[in-house]
Amino acid sequence: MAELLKNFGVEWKVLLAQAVNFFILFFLLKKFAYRPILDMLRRRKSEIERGLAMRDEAAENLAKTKVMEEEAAERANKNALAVVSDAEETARRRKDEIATEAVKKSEQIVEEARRIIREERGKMAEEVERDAEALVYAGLTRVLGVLPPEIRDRELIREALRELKTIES
Amino acid sequence: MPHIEIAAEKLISIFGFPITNTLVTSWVVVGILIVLATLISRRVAIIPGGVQNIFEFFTESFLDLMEGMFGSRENAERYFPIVATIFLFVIISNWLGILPGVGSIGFFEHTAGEHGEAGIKFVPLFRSAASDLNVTLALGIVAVLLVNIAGAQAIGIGRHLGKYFTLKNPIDTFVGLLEFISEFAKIISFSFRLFGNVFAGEVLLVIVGLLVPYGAPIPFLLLEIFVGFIQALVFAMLTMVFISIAVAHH
Repeated sequence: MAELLKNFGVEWKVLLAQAVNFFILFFLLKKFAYRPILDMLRRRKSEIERGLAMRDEAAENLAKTKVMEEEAAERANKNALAVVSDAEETARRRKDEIATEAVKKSEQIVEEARRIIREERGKMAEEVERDAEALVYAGLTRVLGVLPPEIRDRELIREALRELKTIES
Repeated sequence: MPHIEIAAEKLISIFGFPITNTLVTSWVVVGILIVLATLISRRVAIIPGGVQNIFEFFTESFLDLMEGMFGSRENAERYFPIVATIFLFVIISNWLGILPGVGSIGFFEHTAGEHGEAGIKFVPLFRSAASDLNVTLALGIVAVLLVNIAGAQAIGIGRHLGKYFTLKNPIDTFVGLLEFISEFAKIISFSFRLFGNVFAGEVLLVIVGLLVPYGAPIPFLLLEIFVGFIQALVFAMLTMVFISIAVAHH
């Protein structure tokens, strides 16, 4: 056995040195290579998992937002229809009110116009009466050449005018 | 005709401690791996690049393989350093062995022949580490030792030793003894498999290089690259299998 080992060059000192060599390499690689790399792989894995979870959450939120958006749009649509319907109703009511008011106002205007016309006509009649009285007075004065007592004349004139009105009517 | 020696050539002796060319090559391998590890540890980033990418690819491939064997990622990560270090050490030393200069740069030494006549021997400065039985035997012993430590840690020292030494019944006692002997068989199988393949490859390359120096060694160099990888993988995979058996709760 010893001869065999000698032929193969096996020497316990070198064998021990090689084993120590390997152990040194093992501990150094474990500390400086494997541990940082394994830690990094774990960190990356957890970050990827977190990223995927966030993506799922975002997709879920997006779906929820879409549902909310649709609901809000539907609500807004309903509200808009209600507002339009209210506006139409209000407009119709306002139109009727305005029309009624306009009719009232036009009637008032017509009534006012009629009153003014009536007053004007009265005034004109009085004026015509006054003018006719003056004309008759002047005519009679010229025809008669004398100036009769004023009060009698006037009573005559008035009588004449009454007669004249009776004849006209 | 070059002199082919099974034993590694002694370069110098420091206080009675022999420094062989395979020991020097082992130091170079360790140095290369430590430099790589330092580079990686300094530049580990969440978005990998360069050396980190390569190392992460290697790590992930091994972890996937080990996860299938151990059944859990946690166990795979726990025993990954043992398996990965064996693989890296063996593959780098195997590939380093076929580089130009390894085995061809050295010095001539005056020796006394077997019958006393003087001779000159070429002593290379570097030699593929696994072509020395000291290296492969050390690796085998370390691997089997780590397998047993892992087993004792996982199931307890008492239960682990109980696999080898038990007096429950004669059959179990006998099987346990066989198991104990098989641990030594594992060391021998580990060391001689790797040593035999690498040494044979070295010899093959030397002979082909001597017979047809230009062109002919290229296919053999490619073969040695492949063999170097396969041997590293076999060593690492066997260690992994032995660990998975040792840590399993039966």
